[in-house]
Amino acid sequence: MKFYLNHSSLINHVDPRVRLVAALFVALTVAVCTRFIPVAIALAGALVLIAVARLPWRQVGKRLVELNFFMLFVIVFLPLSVEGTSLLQMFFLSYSREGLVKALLLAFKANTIMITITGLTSTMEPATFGKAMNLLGAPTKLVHIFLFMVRYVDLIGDEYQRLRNAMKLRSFHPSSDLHTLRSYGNLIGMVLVRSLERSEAILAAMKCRGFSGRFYSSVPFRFRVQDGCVCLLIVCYIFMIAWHEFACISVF
Amino acid sequence: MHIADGVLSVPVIAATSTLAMAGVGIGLAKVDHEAIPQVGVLAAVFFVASLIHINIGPVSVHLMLTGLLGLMLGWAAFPALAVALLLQTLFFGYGGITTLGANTLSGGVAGVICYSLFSLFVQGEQKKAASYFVVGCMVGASGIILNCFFLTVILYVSDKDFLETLIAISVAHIPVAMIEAFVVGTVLSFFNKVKPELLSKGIFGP
Repeated sequence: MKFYLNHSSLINHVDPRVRLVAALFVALTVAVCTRFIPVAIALAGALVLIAVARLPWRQVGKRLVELNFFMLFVIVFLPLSVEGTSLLQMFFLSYSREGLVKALLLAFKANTIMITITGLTSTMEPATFGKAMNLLGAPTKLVHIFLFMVRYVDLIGDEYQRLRNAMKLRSFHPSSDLHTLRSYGNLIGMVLVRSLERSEAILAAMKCRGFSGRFYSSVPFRFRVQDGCVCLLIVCYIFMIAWHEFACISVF
Repeated sequence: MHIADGVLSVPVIAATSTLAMAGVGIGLAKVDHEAIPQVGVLAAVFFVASLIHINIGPVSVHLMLTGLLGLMLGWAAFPALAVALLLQTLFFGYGGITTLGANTLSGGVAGVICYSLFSLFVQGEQKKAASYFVVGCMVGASGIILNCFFLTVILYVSDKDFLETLIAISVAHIPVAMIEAFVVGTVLSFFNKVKPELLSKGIFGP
C-alpha cells in the first residue's frame, strides 16, 4: 500500500503546517460558497496546485470516483425534493431545475475541495503529517494512535494478503454466497487476533526501549520566508474566492 | 458511506466537529499510555478491512465494521475512527476534511451504543457457542444501521431537501447491514473458538 507519491516538487518545500492549515481554510471557504463563479476560481487554483505538485492526472481522477458515486445519489434524488420549475414529471415526483442546479453545485464544490486537498497534502509523508498535526495542537495521544496506525497498515495489509493467498491456493473464489461471507469473517477474525498479539509485542518492545510517551522526529520544521509568501498567497486566494461569493453579481 | 465536503451547512459543520472533538477527548482519556499501540493497530485493521470489497450481484460494497470496532474499543472507537477517516480523506480521497467531524461522530456514537448494548454479553463467563454468532449478527447490523441513521439525521438537519436522497441511501444500506451482520457474527464465533479470553476479558479489561 503506497500512501504518498514520493517525489520532490515545489509543494514539498513548503512547511507542512502551512499546507495543512491552507487545505482546511480553502476547504471551509469553498464549502460555504453558494455560487458557481467562486467555486470555479477555486477549481482553477486547485488544478494549478496539482500541476505544481506534479501529480499524475490519472491518479487524481481515480480519487474522485468514490466521491462522485455519492454525488450521483445527490444529483439523482435531490432535485425530487426541491420545489421549482419541473424538468421531468414521473407519476407524483417532479424533477426540478432549481434542484438540479443545487445538486450540481454541491458536486462541483465537493470535487474542487477534494482536488485541493489532494494537491496540498497527498505528497506529504504520513509521519511528517503526524508531526505537523501535533505542532498545530492535536493531542499527543491522538497523533501517536495515528502514527501507529500508519506504521501498521502496511504490515497488517501484508498479513491480510498472505491469508488471502492461502485461501486462493485452496481454490477459494469470492462470490455472492454465505460461504464467502463466512470465509471473510474468519479471515478478519484471524487478522484481528494476530494483530492484537502483535500489538502486545510492540508494547513490550517499546517498554524495553524506555518509551515515555514522546516521539522524536529527524525532520526539521522551519517556518521560512517562502512559507510566509505562500501564506500570503493563500490568504489572497481565499479572499478572492470570498469576494466573488459576496460582492460579485452573477447569474447563478 | 461518508459525507463529502461541501454538502453540510456551516452550523452543522461547527456542531458536529465540536461534538466529535468531545467524543475523541473522552476516548483519549480512557486510553492510557500502554493501550496506544493496541488502539493504533486496531485502527489499522479496520482501515484494511474497509478495503475489502464484497460483490452482491453486479455491485460491490465494502465492509465498515463500525459495530465490531465499537464493541472492541468502546469510547476509544472515537479516536480510532478519527485517525482512520483522516487517513482516508487526506491520502485516499474518501469523505471530506470539513465533514471529518460529522463522519467521526456518526460512527463513534454508533460504536459506543453497540459497546454499551453488547459488551455485557460478551464479557464475563463463556456462553453457548451459537449465541456468539447471534450477538455478532446484532452487533454488525446495528453498527451499520445506527451509523447510517446518524449520518441521515446530520444531513437532514443540514438541509431538508436531502430527504429523498437519504431514503435512497438508507435503502441501499440494507444489504450492507445484512452482509455485515453475517461477517461480524462469524468473527465473534471465531474469537470464541480461537481466543475466548479476548471476549471474556474485553480489550481494555483487567
